[in-house]
Amino acid sequence: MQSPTSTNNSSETWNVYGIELQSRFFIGSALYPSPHIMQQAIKASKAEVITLSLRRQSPDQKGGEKFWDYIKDLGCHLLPNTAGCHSPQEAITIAQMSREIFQTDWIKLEVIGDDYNLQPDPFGLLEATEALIKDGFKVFPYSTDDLVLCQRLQDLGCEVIMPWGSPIGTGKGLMNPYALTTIRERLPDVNLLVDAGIGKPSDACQAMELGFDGILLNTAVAEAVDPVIMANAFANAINAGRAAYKSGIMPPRQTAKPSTPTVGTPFWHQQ
Amino acid sequence: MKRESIFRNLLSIMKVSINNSIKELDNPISVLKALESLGYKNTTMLGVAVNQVFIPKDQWVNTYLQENDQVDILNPISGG
Repeated sequence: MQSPTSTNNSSETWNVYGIELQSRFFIGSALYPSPHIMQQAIKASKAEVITLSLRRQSPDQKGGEKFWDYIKDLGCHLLPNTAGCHSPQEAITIAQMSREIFQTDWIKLEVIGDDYNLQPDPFGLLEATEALIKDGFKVFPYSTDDLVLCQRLQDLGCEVIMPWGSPIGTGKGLMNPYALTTIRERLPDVNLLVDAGIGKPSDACQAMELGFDGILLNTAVAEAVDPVIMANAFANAINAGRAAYKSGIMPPRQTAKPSTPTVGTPFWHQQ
Repeated sequence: MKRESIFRNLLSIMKVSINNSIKELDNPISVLKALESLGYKNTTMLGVAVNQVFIPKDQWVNTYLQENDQVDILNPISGG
């Protein structure tokens, strides 16, 4: 699919299931004040991957077609989700419907385990992942930050894993940077994105500084006072975090260490 | 002859759940005909599942609904 003209200065690309991407920002299409602002924000984000979904709709409601008209002109890769699914079977059926409608075998797999914190159901997630990969899907699992679960997802064939930072829509950022860092260190070869809970650009930058490959978010942009400016802020923060990670961040130390050279310090005399 | 056709008509109606609301449809009826009779004109961006099983478009014409089937008719919407 033709990528939108990206003015991303970082020429570095990354490979996601065989597709070379420049942007490390996957953006959602929900919750915007209007379809027009959604379009503008997606363009400002320079994202090349958009998430979307399927819902029941009666024949007299034309929302689906209108929404689709706004999305299809953006020229981005589509990442349909299985949001709202509570069982592997529901997720598998929605994935199959999405593949036919959106003509993509990418699926953002969500199997919800709890209706209050919307956390993934790890057991249902593994079951659905296995079935979908066997059926030819390229699975982007919304996961918890549990190392063993992420390892199993990779073992099943996931080339992308998306642990949460904090519950969907809370904007609480990274609740457990230690767990995310551990996943990054122990699973060096898989593409890792933080999905869910990112609230502000510094959260996204932090995740990228930990070595994550990308960020997936929706609420933090859509519910900003000005989503278009916020989308661009996130794009810059993600790029900054990536550059910082690649440049090699200094390790923190306990004791102070002067930055100004001490040799030749004036007014000092041998006692 | 009139009573027979009424009787046949009575027999040929069935109740099916469409997106969680009960509808009366002819029986037999294919998924394709059901969509048409329910008023879905542009089916390009539509997906159908019957009893939570996905029905590909190329099987709409020869997949027949049964009494009390649960049909989900979905199309695109925004998502995070």
